[in-house]
Amino acid sequence: MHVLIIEDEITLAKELQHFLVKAHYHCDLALTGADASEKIAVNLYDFVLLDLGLPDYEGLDLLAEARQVGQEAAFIILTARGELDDRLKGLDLGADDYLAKPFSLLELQARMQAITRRKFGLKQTKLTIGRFEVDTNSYTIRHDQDNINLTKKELDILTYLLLHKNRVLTRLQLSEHIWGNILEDDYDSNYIDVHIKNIRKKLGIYADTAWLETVRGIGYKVNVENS
Amino acid sequence: MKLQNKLASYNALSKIIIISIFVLLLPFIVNYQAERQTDVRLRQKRDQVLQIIKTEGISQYLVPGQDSSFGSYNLLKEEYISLEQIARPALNLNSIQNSPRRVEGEIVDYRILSYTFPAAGNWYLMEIGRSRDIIYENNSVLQRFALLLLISMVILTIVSDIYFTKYLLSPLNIIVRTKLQNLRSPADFKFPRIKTTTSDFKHLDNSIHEMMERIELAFQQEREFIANASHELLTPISILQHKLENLNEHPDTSPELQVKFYEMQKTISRLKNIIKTLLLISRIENEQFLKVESVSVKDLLQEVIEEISYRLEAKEINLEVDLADDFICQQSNKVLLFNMFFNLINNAIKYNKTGGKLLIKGNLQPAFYQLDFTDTGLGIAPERLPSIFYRFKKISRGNAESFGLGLPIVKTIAHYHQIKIEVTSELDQGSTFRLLFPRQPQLKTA
Repeated sequence: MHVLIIEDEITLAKELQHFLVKAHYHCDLALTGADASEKIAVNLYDFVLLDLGLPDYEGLDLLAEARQVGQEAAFIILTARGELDDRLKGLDLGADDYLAKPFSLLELQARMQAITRRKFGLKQTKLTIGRFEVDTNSYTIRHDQDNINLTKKELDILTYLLLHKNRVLTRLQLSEHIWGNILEDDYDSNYIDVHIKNIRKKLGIYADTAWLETVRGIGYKVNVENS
Repeated sequence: MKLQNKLASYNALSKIIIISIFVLLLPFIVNYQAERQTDVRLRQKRDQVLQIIKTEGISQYLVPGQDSSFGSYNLLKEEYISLEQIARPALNLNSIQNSPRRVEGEIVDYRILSYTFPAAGNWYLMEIGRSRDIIYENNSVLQRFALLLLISMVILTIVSDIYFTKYLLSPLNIIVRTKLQNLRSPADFKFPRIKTTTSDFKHLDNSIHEMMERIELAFQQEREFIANASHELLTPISILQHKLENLNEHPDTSPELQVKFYEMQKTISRLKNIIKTLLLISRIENEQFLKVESVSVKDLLQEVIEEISYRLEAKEINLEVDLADDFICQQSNKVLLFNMFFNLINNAIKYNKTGGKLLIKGNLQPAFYQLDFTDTGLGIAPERLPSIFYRFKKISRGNAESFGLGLPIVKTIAHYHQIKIEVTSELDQGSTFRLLFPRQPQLKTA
């Protein structure tokens, strides 16, 4: 998939590119609004990651331009401005998602995957591990034919882990994913452990959950080999 | 006491004192004046008599060698004149004094001019007298009249003084009433200048306006600084975070290094949260959040409790929610109110004892909707109570770690929604955070 990264901070752009290339995306960089405007007009992208704080361009104008030239890319707006008005304007203009800086790269990837499933109508909305199957459309989890009753938070965590199989997710990344919209003065990410314990308990009734590994001192990982 | 009343009382009092002194002195003044008048008259008469004697001779009154004295008085004995031949006096007499005289068997008090003069080789004593009763006859009437006149003048001037000072000081009253009282923050200061011709009040008014503008500017600059600084800090933090995440994924990274990277990420996350919190507070203070939603306290509490229930379970907190009434919070921002409730309940959990209690109690009061969050936690020492809402005032309570930004968030959001917060606490017993929602959304003074 083709991604255009529009970001005036070159270091930040490079890190985004590095991460996305490893995740098998094809990335173009645009460090200025003018450059981005040209690239949007010429190339077809699946994703445009748009930083609103461009020095030479009103970021939201790019969005309007893209829609004018028939660009069908999904726009994810990245901003450190965090202003409410911009957010509303962006979503009205047809941005697909919004991430406030600083965000986790895994969070970005998860959002991109979600948009892919939604926007491109991919049938594959089911995440499986062993004989467990999470349906991200109906937001349910089953083991064979048995529905398992997980709370929304538990399912959030499990889905996030399954989206990043074989990758260690830190407690921090998990907390930010599920509590990112709540600003409190500390992240006591040990609460993730409580949720994982519950998930293991509830799933353990049906099958072994050895695939849900604890990585000491860091976090958790879904290890496909153990499923 | 208000300046206006002080001025009015001073004016009234000083006038009354001056007038009373004058009224006490009045009889003396009137009498003195009447005597002076009389003296002038007596001298005029003396001169008239002397003129007659000069032109027509003393024989007009007294025949030398025959009569030794001449006397004449009018019917009511108001005035008399007498001439008497005397031996050559050692001293020429020319004086006026009060003295009684017997006239036809009746003692009458006279004011008498005595004068000695020579005529036709002999010396004579002339006495011209005027009854003192007559002199003072009009005085008491005059005094009474003056007294009435003065009192009515005093009343008139006091009344006019009161009205005039009131009129004069009305700009000051307006300044005090509208611009100084009920002023909560410089942002509320949006008043027109006072119209007055008194330069002092103009000066005062201008000074207040200038001061408020300066304060507002300082506030504004502080908020802008926080917003800009926070924003500028977020970009480098983004870079750091992404670099660490990428390094973490690098094939050469050992599990030991991963743990170290995780520790670094935690530090970055902490930094990030501090900045995001500051940014949130400054954005609320800059009124960048819309307040257009109507939020049910009951429903919102339910949402927050659902969100946070696992933390309650983890610490075995016994939660009791007792909402006698629900309250619809008009013109509010749901996300912000959610954050406020979340932080309050989270604190009540974090600083609670394992197996403790949390009581959320809400009921309608005449002017407020009152919502209490009472925990059985560690409590807050009395000397720390005043500073718990200040940013970065880290209160070390138990083992829980905190940046000291949870309560400032709560306070900022509450203030933004005109919700009052009261805190009562006792060490080792627990704390109560009381929210008072205004029942009538207060309109900002335009």
